[in-house]
Amino acid sequence: MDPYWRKARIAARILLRREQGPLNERDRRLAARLSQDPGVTNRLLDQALSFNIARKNGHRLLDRNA
Amino acid sequence: MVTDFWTETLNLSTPAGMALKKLAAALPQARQFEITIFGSAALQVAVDPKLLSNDVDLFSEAEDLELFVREAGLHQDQSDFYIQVCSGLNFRTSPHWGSRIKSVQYGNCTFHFPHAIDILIAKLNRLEEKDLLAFRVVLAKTGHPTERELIRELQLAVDLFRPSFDEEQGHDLVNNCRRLWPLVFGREIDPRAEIIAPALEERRRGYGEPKRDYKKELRDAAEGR
Repeated sequence: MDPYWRKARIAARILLRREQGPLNERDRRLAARLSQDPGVTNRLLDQALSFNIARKNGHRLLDRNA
Repeated sequence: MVTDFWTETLNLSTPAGMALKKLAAALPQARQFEITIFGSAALQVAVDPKLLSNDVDLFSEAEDLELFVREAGLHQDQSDFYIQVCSGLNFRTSPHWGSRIKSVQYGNCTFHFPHAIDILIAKLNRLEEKDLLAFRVVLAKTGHPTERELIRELQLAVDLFRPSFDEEQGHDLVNNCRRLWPLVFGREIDPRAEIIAPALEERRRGYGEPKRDYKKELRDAAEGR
């Protein structure tokens, strides 16, 4: 997997967890690191958020078994 | 976007047309040639035969075209009405120009004539007095471009408004639009507000740029905010 896409998906999951409540220490450390990563762009984060939300809602077009 | 040619025919009986036919006669018959004509000569052939030009600007992939121009006696140092072999890089106009050309086959040569809107847009780079005249002539003969057409076409060609390279003789399309508009359309124009900004916004929308600053949200999340 593209490393920046992987990082963006991790960052997107952190942002989604943040909406649920305060983040734990690990998430905050990861958020700090990923916010400094120039390869993790706003555009990639936007796509990752949409991706994570869609998969959470059952839309899994990319799954091999779909 | 403008698509249909504003005139019906290409008139090769004009001075420019005659020069092109003379050139075609000098070309080796065993090869096919494709030649694009731009500048005022293209307007003379496609719009108004009375639109005068000193020369015929053209370009082609054929690297030896200048040789045949000389053989036809049409080089600048051979004739008072001559053919100027240019580069495609000299035709600085809308990126859509190739999709709305009119072509005519003459022997083994195909002459391509860009749409008048693309000739006029190219003239906005310099906008000398004769270029202003070209706008007036095309408008008088065809009723085009309307203001709306020209604004839209310039939006679609927004990169022409970028600043010139240091090595270039500067072209200032913003200022040239400001000069042109009152003379042709009777009002002032703010090119940044009416042409550039809407085009850049359309481009941004096309990229799907996110509306949120997620990086800032991540920084805030890291700081517990």
